[in-house]
Amino acid sequence: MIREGRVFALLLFILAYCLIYVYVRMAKGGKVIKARALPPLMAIPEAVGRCAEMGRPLVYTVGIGGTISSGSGPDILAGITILGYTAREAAKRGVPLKFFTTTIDAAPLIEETLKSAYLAEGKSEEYKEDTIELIANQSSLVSRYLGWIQREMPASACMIGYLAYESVVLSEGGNTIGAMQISGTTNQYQTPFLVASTDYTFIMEELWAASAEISGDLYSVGALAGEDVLKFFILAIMGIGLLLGLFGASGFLINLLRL
Amino acid sequence: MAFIKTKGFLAVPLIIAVVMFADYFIAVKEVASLAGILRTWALVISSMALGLGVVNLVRVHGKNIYVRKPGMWIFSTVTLFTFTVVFLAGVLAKQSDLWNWPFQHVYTTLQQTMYAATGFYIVSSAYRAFRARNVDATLLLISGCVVALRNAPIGEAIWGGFSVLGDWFMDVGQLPGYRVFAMVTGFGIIAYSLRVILGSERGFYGGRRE
Amino acid sequence: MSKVFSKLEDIDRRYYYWAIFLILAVPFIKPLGMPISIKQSTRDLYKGVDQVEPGEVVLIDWHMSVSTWPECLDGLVAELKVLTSHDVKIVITSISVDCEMSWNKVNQLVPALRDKYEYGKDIVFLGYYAGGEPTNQQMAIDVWSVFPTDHFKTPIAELPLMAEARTANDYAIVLTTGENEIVWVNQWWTPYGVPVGVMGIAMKGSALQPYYNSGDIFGLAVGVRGGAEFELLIGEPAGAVTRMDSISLSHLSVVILIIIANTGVLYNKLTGGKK
Repeated sequence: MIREGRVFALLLFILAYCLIYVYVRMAKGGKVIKARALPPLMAIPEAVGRCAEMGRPLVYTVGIGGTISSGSGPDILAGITILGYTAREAAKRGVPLKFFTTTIDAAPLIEETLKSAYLAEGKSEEYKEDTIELIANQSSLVSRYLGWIQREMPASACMIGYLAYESVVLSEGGNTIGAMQISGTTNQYQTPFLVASTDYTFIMEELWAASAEISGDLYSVGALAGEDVLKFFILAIMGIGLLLGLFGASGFLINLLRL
Repeated sequence: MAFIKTKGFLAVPLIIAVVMFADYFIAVKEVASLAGILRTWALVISSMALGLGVVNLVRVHGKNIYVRKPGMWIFSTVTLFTFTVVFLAGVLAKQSDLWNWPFQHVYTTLQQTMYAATGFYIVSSAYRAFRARNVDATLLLISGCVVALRNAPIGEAIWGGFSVLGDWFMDVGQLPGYRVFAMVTGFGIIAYSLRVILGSERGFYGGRRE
Repeated sequence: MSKVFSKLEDIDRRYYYWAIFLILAVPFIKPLGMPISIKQSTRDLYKGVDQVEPGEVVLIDWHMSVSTWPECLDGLVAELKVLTSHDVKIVITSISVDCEMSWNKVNQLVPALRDKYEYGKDIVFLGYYAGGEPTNQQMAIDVWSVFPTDHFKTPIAELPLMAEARTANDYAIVLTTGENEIVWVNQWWTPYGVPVGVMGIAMKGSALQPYYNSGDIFGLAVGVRGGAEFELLIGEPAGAVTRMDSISLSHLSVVILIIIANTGVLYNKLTGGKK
């Protein structure tokens, strides 16, 4: 009944969900699960503060792609969650926020997130309709973003979402104007560029962990903990495989993994 | 109705996820058939997103023109004019010169220009970032230069060792890092999918768990 | 003296942008003709493509938009030349909305597609598909369910080639161009064992190396260099080989620029100057 070659994957999957379930139950039962401090997340209030001190706006983009796409969807949604947090900080300190995206299918969600953020800080009248700018495609986003930051000179820039080749261009654009930059994507091709060019970077799944931390949701935090335990399990398998491989006896483990 | 609004709709991602997971692992004809239908729906919904994009484009730029937004309404006019011309050409006269010309002589050149500009930004990024300030940065600098010269024939012409070292960096040096990236992304997707199934990930619905 | 080194550390980007522009342009006017060695991953890709038997069906996925033509198109053309020389049947899909432009361009550059191949029997252009990875998964089960018609609105049942190219098991290999390769590894190679070969953008090279090393991808030739190596393997140097001189000089100038920048850093460190 189980498809050939997927037995071990199924067992691993079940283990993953069991671990996550256990930690979620523990979290609901009152156990405090602390995620380590993520420097880029801690830098967001600093970035907003910099804007407030310099009297300049903050620019934010979640990059390209669509929420429906399996590749970019989770990143964009995580970026929107972090946008909500950033917008609250900006609203608190009266920092103007400008948002660019090509993710047109998420437009209502982004609008709702921003309005809620301003409302939560009791500053709903400060939310402006032209805060959000929807761009048609990737190349247009690059030229519009670069033009805007050259004219408006934001003190801080956040590029958190799904980024492709524009990551280098946007980050260098921010560097030319001396902006503090926070970035994050799970696009593994772009992460090295972002690490090299921006001040803080959410590396790979730290992006999703940050969105879980911001939401403060017990399920999200419990899922993080369960996921981390799963990683230890996988590390253990890799360690065993390495030892067996050194003695030329890894065939058994390979066959087990291929079940 | 209130139940459907607050909790009932969470059944939708739960059912879809369970069916898709089951189809991946278990070979049952009925499940496979249902999963196929769901995948077709995903296709349809993705295509609908294109239409949604058109609606939003017209809405946003139309508003800019209507209120004569300073500094923007002229560009919005150009955007909508271009969109209308190409759209009508595509609907009424596909493969005609009117349809081909903007793509071949405007779209292609502009796209390639923007992509080519990346090279210049990479140069300035490398110039700024590759500084030997500490041990880590020095290692990054050395490996970056070696791999850059490994990929360029001139590097091999200068010294054959660039090729050997560069291959080592690609095959051994950076491999563990990218393997880790690939694996943790997978784990993250598993945890994320559970959050979607349990209704914890409210990004899709614009709400927060109470 | 320290002023000189300080200046080296902080050259106005406009100067080196102009320098790079000129350095990139010179080889197009006066080609240097530097020899290009061929990597094993490119040889493996060539071998995999060359070993497809006449009459077998190959799926080519274009994730390259027109913006990546300079990087990917030449390699793709070289691949198509190999396939058409073996009378291999070809099915083409794309995740880029401007795929028709690529189709027209490729037909211009590969004469066999116009002169030797009969559309519908030897080659089919299915066109753009939306939906991401679930669509790739569904294509593996039944291509017809994803593409009821081809790009030119011909019903799929009327295309003789598609009768023998309906599921993943009907295809000999998948070739990807651009950025979409991992989904084919996930949805065609892992469950069905259809080999995947990649000729994509250079940015992807590092990240795809683990997949090549583990055998999940049978061949890898990325960027202009990959295209140039493939052109040399087929004995028809063309656009990619021409561009390699520019690539060489630009890479060398980036390294020189980095050395210049670090000269200032090193001087300041040694003299206890600017931190």
